[in-house]
Amino acid sequence: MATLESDKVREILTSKLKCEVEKSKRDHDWFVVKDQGQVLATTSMSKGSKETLRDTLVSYMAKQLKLGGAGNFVKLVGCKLSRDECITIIRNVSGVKPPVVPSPAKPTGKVR
Amino acid sequence: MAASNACVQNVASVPYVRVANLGHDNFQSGASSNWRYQQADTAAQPQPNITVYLGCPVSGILLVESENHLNSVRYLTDIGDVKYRLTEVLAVSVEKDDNQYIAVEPRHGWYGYGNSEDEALRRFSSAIVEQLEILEERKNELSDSMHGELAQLKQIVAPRR
Repeated sequence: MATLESDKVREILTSKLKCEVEKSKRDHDWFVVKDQGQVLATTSMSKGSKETLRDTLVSYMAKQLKLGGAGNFVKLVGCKLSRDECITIIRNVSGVKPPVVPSPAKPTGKVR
Repeated sequence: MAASNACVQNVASVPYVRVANLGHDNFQSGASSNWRYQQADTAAQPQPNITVYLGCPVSGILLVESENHLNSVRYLTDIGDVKYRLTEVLAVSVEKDDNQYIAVEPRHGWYGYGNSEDEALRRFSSAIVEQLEILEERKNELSDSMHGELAQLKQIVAPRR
């Protein structure tokens, strides 16, 4: 069973996955996964006290985060997946390539 | 399709199955309709006996559930929000896992959860509104995939006039 404790999930989403946290909404706190200026995924957790997130819910959260399955979400929370690995999975699952950063112009080598 | 130790429930209309794969612990099918959510993985344990007739018209999403799980389907016509309304009726399945209830719209993967069926549905409604607002507020930063999610939300959740 892949149950997770909500306080641990909040901590990992914030400190490890470095999600932006949006607490202004009425019923949920929202976690926004960003990388290189792009919003790649979001997920939410109900406001309120600590609770256990059951197996089924963990699966839906993993899908919403585009992590490819509950197993990867559990690995993330268990510190067996790094942020970079997670971002790679999320990009692969959602088919989003990193933005192209223009490389600095190379000198032509021709000097007159 | 038939699955042992599981309950198969027909929910709604209408894809035409074009592709099906049976893996070790999952069933995957692809539909040729124009649904936005055309592919689904369905857990099918233990030892499923699944027969798939490729090319047959299939009426509905097939949900394969474990036994003894609550699974009811509610049809939402309103989300109880002063600013937003639904543009179409949403079929939401409610699942129970231990003492946790999860209301899910399976085509888009939208969900809400709570300690009762009603609380899960109420939070489902607020979650889709909140997510719409969250994405709208960041629309200049969204990846293509998230732009797609925002478009799907805006198609279903519209401002009240």
